[in-house]
Amino acid sequence: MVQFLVKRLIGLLFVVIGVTFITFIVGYKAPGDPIYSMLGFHFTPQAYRTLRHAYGFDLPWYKQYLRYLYNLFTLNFGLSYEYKNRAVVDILAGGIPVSLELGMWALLAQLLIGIPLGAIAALKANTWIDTLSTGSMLVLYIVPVFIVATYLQFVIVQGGQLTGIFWPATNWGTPWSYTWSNLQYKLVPILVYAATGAAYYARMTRTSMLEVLRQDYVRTARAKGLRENTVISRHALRNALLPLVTVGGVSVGFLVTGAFFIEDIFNIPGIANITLSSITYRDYPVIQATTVLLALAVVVGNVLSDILYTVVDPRIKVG
Amino acid sequence: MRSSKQWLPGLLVLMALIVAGCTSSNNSTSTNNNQTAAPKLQQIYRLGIVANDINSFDPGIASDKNSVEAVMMVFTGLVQLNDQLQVTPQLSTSYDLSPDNLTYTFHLAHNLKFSDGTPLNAQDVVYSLDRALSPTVAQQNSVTATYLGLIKDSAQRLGGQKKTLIGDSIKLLDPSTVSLTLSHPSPYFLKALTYPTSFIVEKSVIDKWGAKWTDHLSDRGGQGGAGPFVVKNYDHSTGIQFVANRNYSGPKPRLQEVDMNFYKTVNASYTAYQDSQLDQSSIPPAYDAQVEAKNNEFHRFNELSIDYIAMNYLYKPFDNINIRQAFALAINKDALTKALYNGLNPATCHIIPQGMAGYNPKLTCPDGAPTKGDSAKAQALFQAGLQQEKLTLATLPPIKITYESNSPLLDQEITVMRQEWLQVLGVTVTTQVIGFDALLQQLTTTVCTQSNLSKCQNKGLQMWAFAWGADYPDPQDWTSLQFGKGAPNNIWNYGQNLCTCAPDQQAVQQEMTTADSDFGSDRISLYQDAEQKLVNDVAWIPMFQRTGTYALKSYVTGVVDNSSTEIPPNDWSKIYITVH
Repeated sequence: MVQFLVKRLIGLLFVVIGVTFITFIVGYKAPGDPIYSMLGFHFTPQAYRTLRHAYGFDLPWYKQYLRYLYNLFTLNFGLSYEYKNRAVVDILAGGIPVSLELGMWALLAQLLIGIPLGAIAALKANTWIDTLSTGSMLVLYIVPVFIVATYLQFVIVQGGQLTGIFWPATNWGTPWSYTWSNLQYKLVPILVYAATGAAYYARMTRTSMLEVLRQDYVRTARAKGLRENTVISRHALRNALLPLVTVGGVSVGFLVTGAFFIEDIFNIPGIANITLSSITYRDYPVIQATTVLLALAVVVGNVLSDILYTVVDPRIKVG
Repeated sequence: MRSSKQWLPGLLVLMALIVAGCTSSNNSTSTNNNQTAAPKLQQIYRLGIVANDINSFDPGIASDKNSVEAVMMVFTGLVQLNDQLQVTPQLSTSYDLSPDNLTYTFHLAHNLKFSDGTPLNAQDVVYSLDRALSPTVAQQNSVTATYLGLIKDSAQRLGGQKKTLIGDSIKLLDPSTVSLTLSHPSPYFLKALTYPTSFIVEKSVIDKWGAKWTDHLSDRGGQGGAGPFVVKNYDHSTGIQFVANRNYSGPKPRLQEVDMNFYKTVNASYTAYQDSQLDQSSIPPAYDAQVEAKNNEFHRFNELSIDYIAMNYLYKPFDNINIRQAFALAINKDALTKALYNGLNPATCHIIPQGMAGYNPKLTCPDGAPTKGDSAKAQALFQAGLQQEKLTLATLPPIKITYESNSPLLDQEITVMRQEWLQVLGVTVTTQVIGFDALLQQLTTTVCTQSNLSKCQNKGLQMWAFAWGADYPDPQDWTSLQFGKGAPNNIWNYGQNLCTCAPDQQAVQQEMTTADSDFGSDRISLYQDAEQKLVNDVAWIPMFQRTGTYALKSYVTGVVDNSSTEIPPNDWSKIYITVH
């Protein structure tokens, strides 16, 4: 296991360096000059030269990259171009806890909603329960998350205006705080965010469960006289979840991309929102930092799912 | 036997009277214009700011609208603008002007304090102004030269050749008197001084916290400035909460709290407004008509901002006035604004926008045409221009218009104009669509700095779309700064070109220069006369004056719409939440 981890970590390092190089080069070669953007209408050659030197743009590209790489490994992402005197790490420090919270609860909701629904659909296959469950999951899977989000916001706002009952349609409240007023902010974005993933897990679980329920060991377990609940939970479901573990790592990637819509529509101050606005303003230090972070999240998610797979299934050996 | 319930109604009435009496004594019952103020706990005004964060809370650095709005809550300066955009004393009670019109002497009010109770005196004023001119601060915004560049030796200070201007052109005469000496007489200096670059900052806070000092504005119950509010909490992700500054020298705000909430998009902000999470919000263009239908929530004001088309006088064929006028008259601006902006941004021929001091309601468009243009006149002028230049449509030099990318409305605007030029004049205008910073870069190569003007002919940009927003509410900002001799913004080479009309343009420039140092009543009429000549010369093709709109809940009272979009510091005492 240790050998496996070391190998994966070394691979992770190369991935990170690769991502940093690509984002650096893309930013370096991108048309436009961030100093001009900063100075705007009030450009003067002197101010341009001063700022250009202050940000290190007068250095050759490889020196800029090496300096960037060094700063990266010392967690110094530099200063934002858009927000004066604000370190990129400070900007990210505001967004990471929010995105983590949103992602964590969304993932949990996906699993807690999707897996039971899928299992029930499999157990009640070809009944109206199966049809209802599968149909609704299909709808949630097909309809883009930004449509669901916008529609729910509309319903909340109109409902509030009609009934006078207030329910927040935007913002996130206080991160990691679960008073009733904070829960009101978080409930809808989390559920919307989880919707597509829950549908996906439900379908995967249903398929996997149906496959497992046909296996000989399940028939044997029933023949032994075990209660149906025990057969399902200890034998069928446990084995049916194995494929979901690999999917879990990939779903981190989906969580990351889905976050862009959710955070934008619900005005949640997370990493995705920071990334979107940094792209608009060509705030390259922030773009580079968030790209590296997001790439890390996906890669770490995959590593974790590989490890989890070996834990769940003793037949799988690492290394 | 009597029912035990007979005494109940009387008791209920008595209780109601008691409760009503208690309620009325605990709640705020001050009224203004028959609007009863809501209880103190409800005096929270929630604004939606469309931004991820403000760019800077430092008055010496802030230059964008959102940052300026936040800065003006916490800081203030020697003078300020009222809601009529007139200069009024703020931290100073009066000022004197020397006979040569070069030196302003400001007399500070008594017992001034920063928000943390620290006394504020002339030492703080000279420190703040000198700090704003220091290279360390000024290089972070590049607007300092615009607003404080009139101070003598400011260029050397900005360039680092002078370590300080204190004792030089910025003088501390006594603890409550400061003098500022200008490089040349400038009637608009006081207006420029109202910009946040000149605001007074607390040196001890800056010395303690260095570059991060604005992250500590909420410490010790609020510190750093002398404005009407202090920072209660500043979360870079979600927004800023302000509470009233108990040490404010002006009339105290009635609101208990003002929350500036950050919203990434105007749609998100407006959704929050509809959901009653905000009391004020910008309006997505698609909702303008809907909100306007609720008349008491819709607010519209003229922004001091003009969108225009510029043509380089050194680039053929735009060295010919007839051809310039033809291009201007071929455009139906009325139809354009109706189609693109639902008529919200009024078509204009003005260079000095409505709402700005010096606005001339009697100004006429080129050749007396209306804003909807005049196709027949355009064609006649075009033919006359071609004849003068000995050109035909076939031999007309190619014409290209450059404009910024990522602007769908601008794209549509240019497309329509190109169609009109083709239909009316028979001229095909090509396009170059580039990023904003690339556009700025190309503009710097368009202005001619050579003594031999022919070396600049047909160089740089030929025609482009741009906009200008007021730096300060003075016509100088729209005339001399844009078209004056040697003006940094004279990118179109007005008065410095090979046109036979150049001497006339130089005469207009001289008129503007005279107005710039005229402290008398003729000043405005000089600018207006110059403006009419600029319009006749088609120095710009002004297209629209931008209109700002926002939604404001009807229970917020006291907000006065003005073209500067900023609430003067003393006006916060008039704003409050009514019972709703």
